[in-house]
Amino acid sequence: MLNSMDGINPAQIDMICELGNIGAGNAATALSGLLGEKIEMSLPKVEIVPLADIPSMSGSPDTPVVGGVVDMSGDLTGQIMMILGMKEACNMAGVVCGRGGAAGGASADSLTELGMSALGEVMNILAGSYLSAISSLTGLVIIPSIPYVCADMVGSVLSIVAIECGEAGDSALFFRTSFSNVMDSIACDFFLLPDRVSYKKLMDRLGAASL
Amino acid sequence: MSTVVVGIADLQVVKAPDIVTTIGLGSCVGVAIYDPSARIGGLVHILLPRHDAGVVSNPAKYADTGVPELIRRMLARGARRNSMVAKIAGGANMFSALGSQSDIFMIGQRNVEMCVTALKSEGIKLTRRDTGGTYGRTVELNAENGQLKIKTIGHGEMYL
Repeated sequence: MLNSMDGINPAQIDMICELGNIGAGNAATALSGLLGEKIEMSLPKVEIVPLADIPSMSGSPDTPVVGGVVDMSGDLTGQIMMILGMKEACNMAGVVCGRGGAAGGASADSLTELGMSALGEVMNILAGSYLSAISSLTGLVIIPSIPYVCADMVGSVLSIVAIECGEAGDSALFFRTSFSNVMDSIACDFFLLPDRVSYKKLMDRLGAASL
Repeated sequence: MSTVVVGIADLQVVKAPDIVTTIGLGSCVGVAIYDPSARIGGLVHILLPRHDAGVVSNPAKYADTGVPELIRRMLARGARRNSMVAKIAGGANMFSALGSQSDIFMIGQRNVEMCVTALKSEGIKLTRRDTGGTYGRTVELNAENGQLKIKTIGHGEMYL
């Protein structure tokens, strides 16, 4: 797999992993402020995933989820994705809307338009805080799009990532973190997916290109 | 009877009474080709419309290479080209609800168009299709009868 990512080596992965750590830390703080709860974050990882494994990155590909995506443009291009299980999505929408479970029940049909919109806003805030940390650290200009959300099978949602990476190769490089509250009633997987040109830029900026 | 799963950018060929399935087609397109006389069915999970330059490491990834490759593999299993018929599903725009304009979000439609073109240039008749929309699909081709079952979340189930 490493060969197909143009020889990216473990030292470089460590370096860009640190970048993911700082971005994710910032996003976790923002999420905590938004939800008014303590948020725990997994150790951010950099993963190189073969195309074929992308649909099952967040569980069985037919699992119903809410997915959010923000497109990045500017010096850094690619996508940011957030994946939440339906139950967690409903819980999160409920907290953001301040009405307990009123924004949705526990199935794909019962998350209301308001609930979806609230999750789009969560996505917006997470992506914005993550990217602003990376931007100030590297001096790269990153322009996030508005957030897009949908509720469907996780395989279908993640296929947008597979398509994006499939243009350039047979694998994808992800920064991956999970966020959850203490009760674990709100949890999401969060992915930063810089495209091929962008991770080279990131390594240059970090002085990791020659490692 | 066994069920063979086709991954993303993958293709498989089965004989009756087996079933070939692919889970969670979003903007990707599932092209199902069936030969009713030999009762051989094939399914390819297409990711992108066309291959631009360089060596194709995986023909199943692109519509313009995946469709001919599927036909070739079916012929190798004993199917006959002139009795083959095709059905396609997928090509959704998963994130359209908020009016996304980015090129990547429009890929579903381009995938569908290229699959239709590829089938046409191979001379395979496209009999049924369920494409577009804003939702994902799981498809199952039954090599017993050539039926293509389509399952969705919140948009029902149907047979092509």
